[in-house]
Amino acid sequence: MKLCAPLPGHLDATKKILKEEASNLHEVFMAGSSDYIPTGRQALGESFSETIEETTRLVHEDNLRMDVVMNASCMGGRHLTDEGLHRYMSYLEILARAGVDAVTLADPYLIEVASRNFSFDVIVSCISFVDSPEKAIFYEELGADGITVDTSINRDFHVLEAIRDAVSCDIRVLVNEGCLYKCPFRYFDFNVVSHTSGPPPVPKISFNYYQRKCRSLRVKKPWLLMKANWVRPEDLKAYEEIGIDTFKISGRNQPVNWVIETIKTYKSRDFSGNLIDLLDYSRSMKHLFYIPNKKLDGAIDRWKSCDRNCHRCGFCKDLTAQIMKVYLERGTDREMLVSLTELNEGVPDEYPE
Amino acid sequence: MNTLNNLLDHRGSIEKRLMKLTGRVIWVVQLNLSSFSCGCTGITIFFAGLEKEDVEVFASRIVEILNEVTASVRLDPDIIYASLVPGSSEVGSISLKRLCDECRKDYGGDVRPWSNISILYKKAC
Repeated sequence: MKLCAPLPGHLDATKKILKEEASNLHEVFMAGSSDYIPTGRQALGESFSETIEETTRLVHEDNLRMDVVMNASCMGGRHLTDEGLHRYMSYLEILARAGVDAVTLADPYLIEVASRNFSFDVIVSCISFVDSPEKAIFYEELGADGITVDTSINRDFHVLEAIRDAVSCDIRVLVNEGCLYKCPFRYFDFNVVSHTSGPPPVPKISFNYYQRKCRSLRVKKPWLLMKANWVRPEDLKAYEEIGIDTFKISGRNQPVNWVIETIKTYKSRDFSGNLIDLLDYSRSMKHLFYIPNKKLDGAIDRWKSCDRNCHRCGFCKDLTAQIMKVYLERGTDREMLVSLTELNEGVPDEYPE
Repeated sequence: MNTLNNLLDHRGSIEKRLMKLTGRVIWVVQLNLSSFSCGCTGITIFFAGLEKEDVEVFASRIVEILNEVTASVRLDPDIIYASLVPGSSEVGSISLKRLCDECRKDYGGDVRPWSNISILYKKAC
């Protein structure tokens, strides 16, 4: 197993993660500078060139690989202007001088430019939505050294096997992003984040419709959490059996201690808690829902043969009703967990009127 | 300090009672004591899973539930209103406010001041 883990970006965090988890890792990744190229996740701080250089030095001391992520889905066409291309090439040169081992990109043009002009590995981001052997071949021919597949095929073993068979480059699975299966907001939200995380002009958005709607959909239809694109630590072996052994942990905006615990969990392939606590995107929902991870043993066998026609199946919905629980009065002396079935029958411990 | 200690209870209580009222999961993501630069004060409660239809159908029950919270923090709200995510039917938050003079004018007329709010309670002037 080759585990890739996020670095929040500041050197203190890097040192702590490396000190505790270097022996469990193959590669670490952090966001590039938003002054140059935006990324697919909202940046929390500035990854200055000096920080990336120093981080790379520390990472190499532990014999790990360093990947810089610049996976915006939209650059507003800047990369296709002379000035923009010059700017991006300059930044890629800075990264090359810093000694990074890989750069993760989403845009096909930048992938081609980077692979033709630099010796570091070029990794295709999950935001390139590689969900078929054809797309995988396209990117490999463009020069990609690795492909992080579209998370919507994380449980589609038929397609994963076909992609593995079609290309010889490294195939990566993002195991804990936690986004909706076939998320209808995905392209649009990544486009928004690309602009709000990048160089000026930065739109001052009043609210993020996509993230709000995603959250309320999960509250209204909790089985969407079950169908989301996560992979349990216990189920990594199913991927290794089809020749995929590089696993990427999502979470560069999460706290350092969580990153460390999540690395340990995936390395140990064993987790007894609330599965939602492992997820990057929907982690805050662990205060509302409880999914007992151990009760998901064996579900992967069904998902491996799933035909993705949820409207005819109902397996995930039934499983949700059986095992998922809801917190009532979380954080108080009266905190309790009730099943969704109990909730549908009426909230227990009713208040006196 | 008692007020702060009670905030967790209020958050949990509102969430639980709205689940009971609607028969499905509602998430109170945050409950904040708020003050605004205009001079308004109050409580703002952020939701996920609550719909415009819920606050319209259950307006009086929701006001009853919320008033228990306001009593505990000694807030006598002039207005209680739900703010919808613009252009959608989703309730983003419910605000309980003691209004400043300027906002009292905005909220005081017969017409909702903004199209994305739904007024659940307004104190008679």
